[in-house]
Amino acid sequence: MITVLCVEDERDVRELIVEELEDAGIRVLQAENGKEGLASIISHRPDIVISDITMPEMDGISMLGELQINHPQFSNMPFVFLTALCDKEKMIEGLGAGAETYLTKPIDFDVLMAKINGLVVRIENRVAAGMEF
Amino acid sequence: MRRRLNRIRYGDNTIVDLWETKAMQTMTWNTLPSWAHLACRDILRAATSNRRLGDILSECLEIVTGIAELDLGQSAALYMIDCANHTHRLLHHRHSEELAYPIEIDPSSMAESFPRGWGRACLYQMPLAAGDDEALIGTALLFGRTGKRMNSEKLSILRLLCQEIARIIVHRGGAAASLIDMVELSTDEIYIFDAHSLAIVRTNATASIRTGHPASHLCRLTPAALKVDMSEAAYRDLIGSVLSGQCSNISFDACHRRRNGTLYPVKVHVWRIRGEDQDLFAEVAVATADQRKAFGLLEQVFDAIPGGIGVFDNRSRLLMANRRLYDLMNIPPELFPPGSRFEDILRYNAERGEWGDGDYESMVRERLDQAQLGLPYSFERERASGKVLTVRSEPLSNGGYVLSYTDITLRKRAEKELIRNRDELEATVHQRTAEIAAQAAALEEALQQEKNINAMQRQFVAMTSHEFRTPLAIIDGAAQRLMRKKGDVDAAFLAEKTHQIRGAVARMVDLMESFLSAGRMDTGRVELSLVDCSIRKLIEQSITRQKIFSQNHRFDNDLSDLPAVIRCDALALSQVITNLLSNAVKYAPRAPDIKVRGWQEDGFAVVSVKDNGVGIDAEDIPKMFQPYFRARTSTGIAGTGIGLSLVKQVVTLHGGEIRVDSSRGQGTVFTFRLPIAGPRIETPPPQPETDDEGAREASAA
Repeated sequence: MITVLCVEDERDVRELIVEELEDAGIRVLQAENGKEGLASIISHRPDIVISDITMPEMDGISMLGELQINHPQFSNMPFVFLTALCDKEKMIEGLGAGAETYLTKPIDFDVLMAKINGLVVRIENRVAAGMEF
Repeated sequence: MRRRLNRIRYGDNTIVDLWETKAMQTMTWNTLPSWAHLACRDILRAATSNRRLGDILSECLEIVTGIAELDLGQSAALYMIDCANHTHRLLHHRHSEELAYPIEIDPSSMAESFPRGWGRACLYQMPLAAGDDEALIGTALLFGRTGKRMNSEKLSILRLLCQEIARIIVHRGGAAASLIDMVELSTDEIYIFDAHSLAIVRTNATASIRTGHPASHLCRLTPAALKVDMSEAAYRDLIGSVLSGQCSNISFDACHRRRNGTLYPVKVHVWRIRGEDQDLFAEVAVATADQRKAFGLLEQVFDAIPGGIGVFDNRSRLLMANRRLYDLMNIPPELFPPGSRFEDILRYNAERGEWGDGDYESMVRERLDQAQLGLPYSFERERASGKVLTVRSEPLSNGGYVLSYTDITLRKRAEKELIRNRDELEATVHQRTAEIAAQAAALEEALQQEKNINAMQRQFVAMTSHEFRTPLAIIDGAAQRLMRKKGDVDAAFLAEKTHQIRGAVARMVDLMESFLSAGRMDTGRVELSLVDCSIRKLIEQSITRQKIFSQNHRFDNDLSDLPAVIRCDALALSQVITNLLSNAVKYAPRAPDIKVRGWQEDGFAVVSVKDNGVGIDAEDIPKMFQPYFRARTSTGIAGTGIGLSLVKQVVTLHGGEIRVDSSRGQGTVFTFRLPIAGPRIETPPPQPETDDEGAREASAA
């Protein structure tokens, strides 16, 4: 079963995403900020990460940066930004940090789920081919 | 075959072999060519001055090396025989570091060579002795300018000149006493004659020039023979008292006949001088007509000079002065005629206060000592009248000196004017530079401020968008969730979604409310509607509302000491408290305890809100209430930067104050005070804060 980590400081937003993913039969882990998210990735090795950017303690881009530099074993793990920051500079920064995709709020769940399903298919194919992330 | 006399090794390993040179013609004063004669006289003249031996030797070497006929280079050195080790010790040198080493040479011979290393120049070695038969005292080394060797006549003359220098060294500056010097240097005719035969044994150049007889010719005559109508017997009678030793000298008038037969009057002085083995007498004939003529001419020349000139003898007595000297020194000529002591002139001026206050006698002594030093000097002096003079003193060879006074008042005045103009110009330039620098700094500051405001506004726009999008995401997300369930929803699910949507909407309303308030403040359209309201209740309501959004935080409030009511705009005050509470929650995500305290002091209600959150950097604290400003510690925490500026404005409008105490990582306390009786003037026109006026205008635009 595919595991997705959802990192989001707004409780209501997080709950909505979790519900949507769980309805699609995905196991969901939750974290309230970048620091918690990083700890969760290292200990639970999720298949996909969906993360907000603006969060206390550690923001999403810093979390991804930290992961790339100090934990390169996760560099193939798909990382999806889901943020209310819509300016182009931020989008470039997020994608430049190594994110798979950059989605903005308000959330279009159809788009989000299409993206997640696409990633799930890719992951399952890879596993079937004996490749590892 | 020439004999190698010596080999000289110099410090730079140059080796010079000196080869013996056979001179010589015997040169006498009377057979010297005129240029050599002049050089001898110049050397003797240098020797008669009162200067140090070193200075005299410098001049002598300069004279010798400067003789065009000898074609010598500038380098020359004099060595003394050092009795202790028979080496030659450097006594004096000129333009020649190479020659400045002790050397070993056979000093008795003359030698010449081509030293290697210095190009093809001749090096001449000359013995230093006061005369042909005198003891050797040292050696002179001189360079030829080219490799062309001197002929024997010139070598002999060079040796003779070196003899003259040796004589100066022997006499140690006492050459003036030398009879030969006196005779040669005199501008009067001098005849030295033998007492028995009256035969002239020595004479001088002046005698030859005046009488027209060559020196060799004169040596065959007697002094009597030169005089008109004077027999030898008559001459003996005239000088009888000197010849017999009754008196040391005698003077009389006579008339000399030139070789061409013309006559001229002379004043004759005859002395006994002591020869070594014979009794010698000297006759000095002073051409009186020439003297008068010369003196008259000199007086005219003196008076024609624009500056003041005074000649003093070796005892500092005034010999001669021009009118201008008396004018410039402002001394009466009748008081100080020639013969006056310089000392008296100085004292006269000192006592008149020309030199300012001080001990006159010591000032006079100082000036006099300076004048008698025998050194050239000059100084400037401002007289009491304001006149500025340059005073210059040039020593004379006889120990006297010439003082010259030049009036430089006009030049000095011009100089002062120039300096004043320059200073003024400099001051102006400095001032303008400072002004421009200040303007540039102000411009730079304004520009920087503008940049800061722009950056803050960009950040504000981004954050505003973010702030609206978050509740929108909740509303939209909840709506999408409801749609996906397609009616298959239970009451709990429906309630939850509705709750989420309403919460998000309330948040958006709050957000909009604060923007609108900020806008009202900015455009100055705010009016406080003052009512007596229970501040305690207001705070408690705000806390209750905040709890809904921040279920993880605990609020500890102690408001019992607050006054029952204060006069204020309840809605605006509620916004202030809500803002401070939501900030405390937002910036302390990991520290759940928030303390709210209220009390009263000096007619003010005071409220503080304390969290244990991220805190604020010390340098950010002064900017906390500027619109759009966000502290560095707020990174990653959503916010627009308008809340606190709004808070500050509301508090200020109420006639209150707000302050913040914090440091990074140590939590934050906001404390505001409001007058219990309300603002002193009710609904005052809103005063935009002067320090961030620009920011406000920019945001209104």
